[in-house]
Amino acid sequence: MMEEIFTTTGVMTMMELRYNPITDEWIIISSETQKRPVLPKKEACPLCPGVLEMKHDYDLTAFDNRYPSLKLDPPEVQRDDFYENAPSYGKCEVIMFTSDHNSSLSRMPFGQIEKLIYVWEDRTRDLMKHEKIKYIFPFENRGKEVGASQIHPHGQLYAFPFIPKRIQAKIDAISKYRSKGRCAICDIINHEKGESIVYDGENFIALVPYFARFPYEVHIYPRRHISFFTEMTSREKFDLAIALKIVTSKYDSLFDQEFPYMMEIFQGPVNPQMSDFHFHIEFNPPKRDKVNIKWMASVETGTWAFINPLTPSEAAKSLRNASYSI
Amino acid sequence: MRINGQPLKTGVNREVIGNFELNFSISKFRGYLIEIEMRNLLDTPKFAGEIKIGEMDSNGEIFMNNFQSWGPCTFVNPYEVSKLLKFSTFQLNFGISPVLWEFRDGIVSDYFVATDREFAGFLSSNLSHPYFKWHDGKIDVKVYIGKILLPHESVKIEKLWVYEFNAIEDALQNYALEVLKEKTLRSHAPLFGWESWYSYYLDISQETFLKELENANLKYEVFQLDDGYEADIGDWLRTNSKFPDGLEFLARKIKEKSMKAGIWTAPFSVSESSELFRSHPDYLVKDDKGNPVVAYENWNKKIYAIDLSNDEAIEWLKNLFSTLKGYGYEFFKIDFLFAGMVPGKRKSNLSPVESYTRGMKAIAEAVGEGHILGCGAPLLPSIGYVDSMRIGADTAPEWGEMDIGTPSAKYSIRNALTRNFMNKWWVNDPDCVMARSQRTKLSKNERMINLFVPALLNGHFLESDFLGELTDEDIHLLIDALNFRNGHATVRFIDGQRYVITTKNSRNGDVVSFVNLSDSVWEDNLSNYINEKKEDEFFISYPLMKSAGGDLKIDPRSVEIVLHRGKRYLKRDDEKEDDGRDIHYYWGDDYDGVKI
Repeated sequence: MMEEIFTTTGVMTMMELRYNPITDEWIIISSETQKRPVLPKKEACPLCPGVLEMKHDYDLTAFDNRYPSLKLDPPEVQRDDFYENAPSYGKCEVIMFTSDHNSSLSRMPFGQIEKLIYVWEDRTRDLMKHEKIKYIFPFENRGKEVGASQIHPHGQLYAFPFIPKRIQAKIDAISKYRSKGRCAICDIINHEKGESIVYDGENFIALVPYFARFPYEVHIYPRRHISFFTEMTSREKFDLAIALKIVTSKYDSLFDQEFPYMMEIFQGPVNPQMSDFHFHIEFNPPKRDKVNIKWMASVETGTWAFINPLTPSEAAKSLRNASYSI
Repeated sequence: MRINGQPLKTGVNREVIGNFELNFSISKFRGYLIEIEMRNLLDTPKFAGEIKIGEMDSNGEIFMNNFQSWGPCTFVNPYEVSKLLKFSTFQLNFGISPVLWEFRDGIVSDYFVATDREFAGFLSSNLSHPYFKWHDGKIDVKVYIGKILLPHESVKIEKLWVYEFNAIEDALQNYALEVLKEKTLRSHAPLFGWESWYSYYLDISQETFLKELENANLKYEVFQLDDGYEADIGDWLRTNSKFPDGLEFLARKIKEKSMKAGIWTAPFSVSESSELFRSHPDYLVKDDKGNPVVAYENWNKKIYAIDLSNDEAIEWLKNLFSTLKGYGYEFFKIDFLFAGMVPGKRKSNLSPVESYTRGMKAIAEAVGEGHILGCGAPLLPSIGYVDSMRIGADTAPEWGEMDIGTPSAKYSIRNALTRNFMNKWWVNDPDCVMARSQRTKLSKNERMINLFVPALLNGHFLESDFLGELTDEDIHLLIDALNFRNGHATVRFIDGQRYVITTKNSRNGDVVSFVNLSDSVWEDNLSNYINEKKEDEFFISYPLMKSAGGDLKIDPRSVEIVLHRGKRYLKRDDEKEDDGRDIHYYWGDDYDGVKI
């Protein structure tokens, strides 16, 4: 998902959802004509307190993206005789992790990450009140390699009016696995004992999955079969903060650099709530080694089939051995 | 406590001691407050030296305190210490006490003392040096004035506060507050910085200092050059051959990296080989024969003391610090300050304490908004003149077993714990932390104590490492410790070797830490130290981040850190932008502004 904060846009005004009958998926068309905001000075960070987005000091914030792809009051769409389209209903929020410009999940105190989890929970609770919202997806793009234009630690959140294609794939897989009478993630947690584990906490486990698509992909699973932030206990939120801190800190240690990644948080669908969905977080880092990038090229983009150049157990071993801070 | 041989009771009291009259006014205020006026009864001037103003009984252990930064503050068996001093070859000097003669037949606790139930503390040291001399199961309550009183002149001696306590920690906290009533403070926040001493000692050079500056990648607020740059002790503005480009150049280089430039001096000290000694013997405190008083010996030299009653010496001092400030320095570590308070002959009729505070005032005026870190300093008279204060012995890259104010990782930390209550007077400096796993004799557990206790107590956090040599793990340990700063800490004394720190609102939240400085395992239960119940309460042992049980077993020479957590509530403020967009501000209860 591309980074959309403060990007200059084209000249057309178009904001609607379009259905692809070939792949059975919804596409978000979004082009805005607003001009890039004028910043007080060239080097100023628009996300720092008092510069542009936040008028005063803050601890954490969640605010509507200045250039959203989805809005609660989207423009009317012009119906097409042939294609199916719909208004771009939904919400695109920016979530500031901290007012400290030079921090990151890997560097901030775990107490700050814990607060961030409370914010994610609050945003989930707030947004699921809108009946037309079907899926709430918090994420972070870190590093220019994945399109992040601002280094100030922040993430985003998309509240979709439909179930995105990959989420639907996950839901279908859950149903398929349910024929065994069990949950796939619960079974993985029970099965994984050593070589894939990166962090083994009381309430959360972090591992490089057997089926990793990216070289240093890491998944974080709650041991308890829960679907939403809103179901987590205080202790689970704390433990998730620790897991996030350790994983991101290990990432930075791995090649002694600020490790780029896409962090995707998967909760269950809402309206109606799907309680059989096992909450999880995926880290999809683009790096294949210290220098090179694993590109989403033709095979990956065209077929959704991934070629991972690194054995997952090797990646897990490197990450397990990487030092970290808590 | 007895005054004039009588137990304390409110009212006035008079006692004549030699040629002086003492008038006591005793009132009740959370204990007893004793105000004392002293008058020269003679028609001629009279030198006022030591004066006994009361006495206490003590046959058991006492809690005692040394007058200056490096000296111990701890529980002692006075009989044992007394015997030890009598039979040791340890050389006493003015760094140990300004009233050295008292050690002939006893031991001294400066400023305050506590027996098993009674705490007595002087609330200031403006005129005299107040102290408690223990000998043979008795404690004499005394002051040393050290100046001439004119015929019939009256002077006010420091107020004395006496308090019966249930817990010594409470007595110390209350004492700190009572002292504060008499003072106006300089105030600065605790700093994170780097300094050169514990990596290079005197071998620092411009080249190595700049190399460290280049490797300073963490968000240090201050970068300080320590001892080793100067031409000689006293000749501070002339650098030696290892620093060819001088001090102004270094300040500029530090500021280029957006840090405060820091510089070490020992401004009240003059070495026998210095240019200052040769050119200005008139600046020095003298003995009865007119020879300069040796304040102490260090750097293999005799070190003399600046006479701070001398106006010309004060001008020299002001010029020194104005010049350093003009060079760009903003952080001034001033060391061996006890030299300014040695007894002796001075140009003007000022007591050693009055002279000392005059010197401190001159420095404070010269540096203005700059940060002053006192070290090797008489504690009570420094309040109001420093922003921060060293409160223990020099640390060391080894544990150390001597509790006599000499370098020791163990006793440096012990004092940081026992003197934590002084954080009401200034920012406490527990001395440097060292994250390094190489070039150290400290074990991992001992390093954890050296790093985490200063963070948990939230005084200064000044690192002294070879920055280019730190491993990833060393750096992570340092960052981990930094995340325990910013809290408010109180310390409970279990005994002289074991302490419990309760830190509220650190960056990592509320923390209870068990510091075992002893060589034996400490078994205890967490529930003995939890005073506040939290909603959805849980306890996590750090750094394993596993649930902490009630029973604790703390290894020798180690710190056990337990996070005290529960449900968190974030405050939320909703605002609407002009263009209709929503913005939700979230605030944690621990948020206190933008921090590193």
